Order: sequence, then structure tokens, then C-alpha cells
Amino acid sequence: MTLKTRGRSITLLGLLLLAGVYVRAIWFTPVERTQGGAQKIFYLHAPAAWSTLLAMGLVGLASILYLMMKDERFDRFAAASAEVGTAFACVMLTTGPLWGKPVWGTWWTWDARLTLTLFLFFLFIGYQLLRGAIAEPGTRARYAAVLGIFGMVLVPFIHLSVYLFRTLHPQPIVLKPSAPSLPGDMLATLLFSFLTFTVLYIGLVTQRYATGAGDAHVG
Amino acid sequence: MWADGTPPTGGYAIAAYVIAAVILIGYSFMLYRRGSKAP
Repeated sequence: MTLKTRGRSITLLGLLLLAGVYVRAIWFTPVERTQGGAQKIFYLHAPAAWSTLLAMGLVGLASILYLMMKDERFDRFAAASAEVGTAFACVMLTTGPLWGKPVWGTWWTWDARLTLTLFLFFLFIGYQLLRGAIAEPGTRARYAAVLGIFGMVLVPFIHLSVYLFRTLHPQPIVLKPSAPSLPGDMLATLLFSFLTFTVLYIGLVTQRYATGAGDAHVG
Repeated sequence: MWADGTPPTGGYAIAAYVIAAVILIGYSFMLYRRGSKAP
């Protein structure tokens, strides 16, 4: 089985699991009393955020490894992870405001968590623009690696921003030192969705990596 | 409020679920097409 076929199979599995998440979240998970149906956005928004941060974290890690070893495969992986991360960031940044409007009364607020997340999205876009703007592969990989490491540094600040600053955004309810503060049915759906988004990330990155020469070239 | 006391905010959830599906399925399909064209 080629890498491309493997990537496609994992992606297909991820999409089937996503259908399962939709069915479970919509029909088999209780409606939250104060927020109503909008709370169900949580089962997409939080896992999309997880995949986005995972993608940028691995872009940075691969970038460090590329700078240390000069192995082209790390650069290729970083490029793949950045593109896939951008797709997940789009999900995160569209589902977030759709949840915020009915619950907070506003689509957007310029607090630390949201602003840093938007900045991360711009970093993803900038990373790809940079790759597209440099023709020479070695220079492109080196410059992109530096930007990728900047992106990785941002990840823990985004996660901790809800503790460091006053913000409308709720604090983590699963990825925190104490036990998850969520009823069992909701927690099961959320963990299922986290697993699904991780499978999707692996499948999409594998496909994108196998496709390889996806970087635009000048001239 | 609905009869059970929950606010009628399901429309936002429907919009979010549709948009997320469009992005994720669309991007998967785009990669599939790109992979089919690549050698």
C-alpha cells in the first residue's frame, strides 16, 4: 500500500468517524440547559482547536529537526502539517463565533485567547505565502522553519492565555491538571470527537505529505 | 425558550456543523484530486 493510498484510507476512516460524531452529538448527547443547542458546537470547536494547535506544534518540531539534520522529509512534513492546520483553523475560527454569538452576545471579542488564535491563523497563512514566494528549496525550507518555530512558541501561550489574562473564553475543561468537569455523556462525545479529529489530521497530513510537491514555485 | 426551558439556539449549531463539514470534506476531496493528478 502506497503512502498516498494509506493517507486516503485514514482520511476516509476519519470522515466516517466524523459522521459518527455528528450523529452522537446531535441525537445521543443531552442538550445543555442554559445554552441550548448552540452548546453542541463545542464538540466540533474544541477538537478543531486541538488539531490546529497539534498541527502548529508539529510544524515547529519538524522545523527544529530540519534545521538540525537538514533532512528534506522534515520540511515536507512541516509544509503538510501547516496546510492541514490551516483547514482545522478555519473550522475553529468559524465555529467559535457561531457559538459566541448566542452565548456571549457577540461574534467576536479582542481578548487574549481569540486574538492569539487569530494571530496563529495568520501565521499559518503567512507560512504558506512564504513557501510559495521562495523558489530555491533550501532557502525556502530554512526561512519556513524559522516561521514554523515562531508558530510553535505561540501554542502554549494560546493554551494558557485563559489563565494568564481576563477573558470571555472559558478555561479548559479536559486538558487541565484536575479531572474533566463535564457530565459523562458529553465527555464521551467530546473524547470521541478529539479522536476523530486526530485521525483526520493523520490522514490528511499523510495524503498531503505523499502528494509532496505541493509548494508553489516562483517563475 | 422551548417548552423544556432551553433557549432556541440550535440554528447556530446547524450552521456550525454544516460549515465544518463543508471545510473538512471539501479539503479532503481537494487533496484526493491533487493526489490523483500527481505522478
